Amino acid sequence: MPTKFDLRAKIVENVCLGGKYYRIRVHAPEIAALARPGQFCMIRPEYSGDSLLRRPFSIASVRDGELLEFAYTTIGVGTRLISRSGPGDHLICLGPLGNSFPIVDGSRALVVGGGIGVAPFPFFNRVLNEHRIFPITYYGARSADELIYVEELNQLSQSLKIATDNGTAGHHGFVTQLLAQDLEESPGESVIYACGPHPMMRVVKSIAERYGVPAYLSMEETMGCGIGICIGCPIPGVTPDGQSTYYLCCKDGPIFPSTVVMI
Amino acid sequence: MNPDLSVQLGSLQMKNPIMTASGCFGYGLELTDLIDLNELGGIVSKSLTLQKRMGTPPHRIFETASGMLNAIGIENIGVEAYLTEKLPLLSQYNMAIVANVMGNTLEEYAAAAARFRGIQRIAAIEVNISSPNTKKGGMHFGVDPEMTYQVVRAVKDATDRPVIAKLSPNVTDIVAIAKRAVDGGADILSLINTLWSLAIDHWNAKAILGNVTGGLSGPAIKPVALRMVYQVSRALPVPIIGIGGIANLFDVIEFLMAGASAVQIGTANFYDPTVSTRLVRELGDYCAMRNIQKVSSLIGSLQIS
Repeated sequence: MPTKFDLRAKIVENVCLGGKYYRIRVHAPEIAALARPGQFCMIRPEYSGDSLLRRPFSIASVRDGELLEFAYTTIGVGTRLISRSGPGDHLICLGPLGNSFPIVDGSRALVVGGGIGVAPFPFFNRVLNEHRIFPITYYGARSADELIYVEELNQLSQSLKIATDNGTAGHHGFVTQLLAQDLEESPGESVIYACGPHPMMRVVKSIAERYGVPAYLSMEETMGCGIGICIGCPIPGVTPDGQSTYYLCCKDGPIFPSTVVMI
Repeated sequence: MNPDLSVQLGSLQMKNPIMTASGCFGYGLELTDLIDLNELGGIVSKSLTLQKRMGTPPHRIFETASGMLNAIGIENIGVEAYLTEKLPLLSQYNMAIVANVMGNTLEEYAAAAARFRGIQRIAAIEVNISSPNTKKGGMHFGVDPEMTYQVVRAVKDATDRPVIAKLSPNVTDIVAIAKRAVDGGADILSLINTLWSLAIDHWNAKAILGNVTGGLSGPAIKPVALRMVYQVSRALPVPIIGIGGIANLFDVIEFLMAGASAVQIGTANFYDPTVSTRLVRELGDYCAMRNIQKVSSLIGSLQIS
């Protein structure tokens, strides 16, 4: 059985959620059937002109068993082109790729998303719920108008704790401060799952180590291929025997235990 | 009509002219979910060094118009691990397996090549001569005719396989370099490697690549590659493998017309991972449609009036 497919997937919906934030749904039943939370697809529009490389998008949700949903921000030419595609157009979509978040039955799941790094968590939280785990979700953004999936995450979490840089919603400050507060009260049998910008991931790693809590970090690096043939997405890390190494974000990750990556 | 797609490059015979390029296809086993390797004419390994190499820090990849820059730093598992972990699995497939070797000294090149002596499944050794010569202050072997001669000679003397010299385009006179590679014992030439490049993050006034400079590849470089294949093929009677931005059937045809006997698909594998085997099928269809009985009849068929 193949573990991944390269499909021409019809776009069902592509909507702006405000500002640079978008949500796109494509019909890709083969990929949807295999997808696990934390995995990603390599995507480009069918006609992408002189922008050749695909972009890695983490899978935000699987809807009705056959639709893949992605959330993304327009950063450069590739994502801008995708944002201009509409229903009936096609995406070229390779996936599912990479590893997935490990689920630890009976644990207290602490899910930490920053900015567009919240993207994998609607999918992950839903799967956690299926395992009778109701996570505490920590979600940081620059401001209230950059928050996405709030209602859905709220439904899928024991509680949703929001922080914004400018204080327009939730805690005025960093989401990692909320995480540290809760761990200070009781680390319990917690497992941290995080995806977000580099500075947030660095803080999550140090918090996890301070409280002796396992943390799984979904890392990011510019990717050429998504399947380990270009060797272009190094994540600096250490091997089990303490040697420096580069892991490949696409093939060894994107999810790593916080103890093996150097941020 | 069932056209004959086979090509013969000296003693290297392949069932069709479509190969995958070094560094653009991993070790060949990553794509077995998506394509049938048996369809390919051949694959070329990632550049292999005597010892494993860690490669350069991030970022290693940057997209540019119709192409990309890369600076991977020859991260690879090393010759020994390739022989024990990758080659036995690759050997199940019916295609030519080419080992690409690299080093920082003549001795390292020779030692890496020597490890493939007597290994029948290795159809040829490709020499990546675009490596800094640490004994000559880091000057790249492949930009100097004499250093090109020496490195090809060192590999030729160390191996019992046909030798493919992979030429750098970062030179003033590609024909002069090609001649010295042939003098050094190259049985086949492959060209071109990437064009030396720089990308800048203008917001922060910093180089984007961790290595500062890198190599430009992709369709953006195809006209340069075509020109160099054309020049070298007209100047020398040596078989040529064309490389540079090949992404579709007509690119393949054009390289054959310019004088290449086979082609390697590089960057296109990254954004279109099933392209290589699709090109084999499309080339067969094209020959059938155009009533071309032997694909080899296209080689060097460019007419210059």
